[in-house]
Amino acid sequence: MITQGSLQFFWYSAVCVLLLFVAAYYCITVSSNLIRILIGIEVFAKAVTLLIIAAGFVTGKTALSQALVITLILVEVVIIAVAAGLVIGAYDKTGSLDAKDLRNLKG
Amino acid sequence: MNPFHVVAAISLVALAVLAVMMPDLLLAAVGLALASAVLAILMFMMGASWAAVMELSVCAGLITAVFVSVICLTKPMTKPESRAFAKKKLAKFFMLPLVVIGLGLVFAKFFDVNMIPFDISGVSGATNDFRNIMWLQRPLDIIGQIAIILTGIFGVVILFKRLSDGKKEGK
Repeated sequence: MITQGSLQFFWYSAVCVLLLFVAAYYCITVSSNLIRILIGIEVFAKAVTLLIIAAGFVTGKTALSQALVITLILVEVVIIAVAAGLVIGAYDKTGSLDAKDLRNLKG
Repeated sequence: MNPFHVVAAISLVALAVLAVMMPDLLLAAVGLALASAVLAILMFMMGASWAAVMELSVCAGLITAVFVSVICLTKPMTKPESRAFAKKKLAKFFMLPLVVIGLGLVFAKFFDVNMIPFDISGVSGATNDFRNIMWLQRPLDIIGQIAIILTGIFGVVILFKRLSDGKKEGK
């Protein structure tokens, strides 16, 4: 049952989610370091996780929100593992972690 | 609102911002791990204990280990280089969160909360059991997770096999 208090709690959680989104967007767009970009992706995932759990808490459907979050966490770890492999490969080829140095395919 | 929720939420945002703004990558990875741990506490307080355990073990544990190993295997910028970079580029955008919050407050004045349909249908039955939802109502998610895990395993194996082959040729 959604009450005024739970709705207020959801909006406060939404403010936290928004701040996390801003921090992640800032990290990904400003920094050209490949590892920092991965950190930004991780912060994005944290924001989405918090939003889904808060929505489940407010509506009383915590089981469904947990099922979705567990799927999200699994996808997140696979993305980070594969991206880490790509970062190490890129570093071995170019000797740099700067995304601007990955210009071999530029016409 | 529970004061512990407020403290946990503020800590989460502070640690995430710390992870983003820290010039040292290793400390940024540690900040991210702490943010994951605080998020797990927040999730546990909201009744999502299964997801909290996954968040703590996978995100705060496994992903941090992956980050630390990537940082150790590569040579990021030195501290003076990263500090100079931070002063030069990151300082431009420090007003961005305030702008977004301001826009959010303006939007909130004109936005009617009652427009949002909060009644999410699709979960039938009286049970709110996580295991029932996961295994019986969302079996395709399980199949998708298995496929994604296998993709990740093969992807990592192939990537590191190419790296080791490249190093052998280099020798």
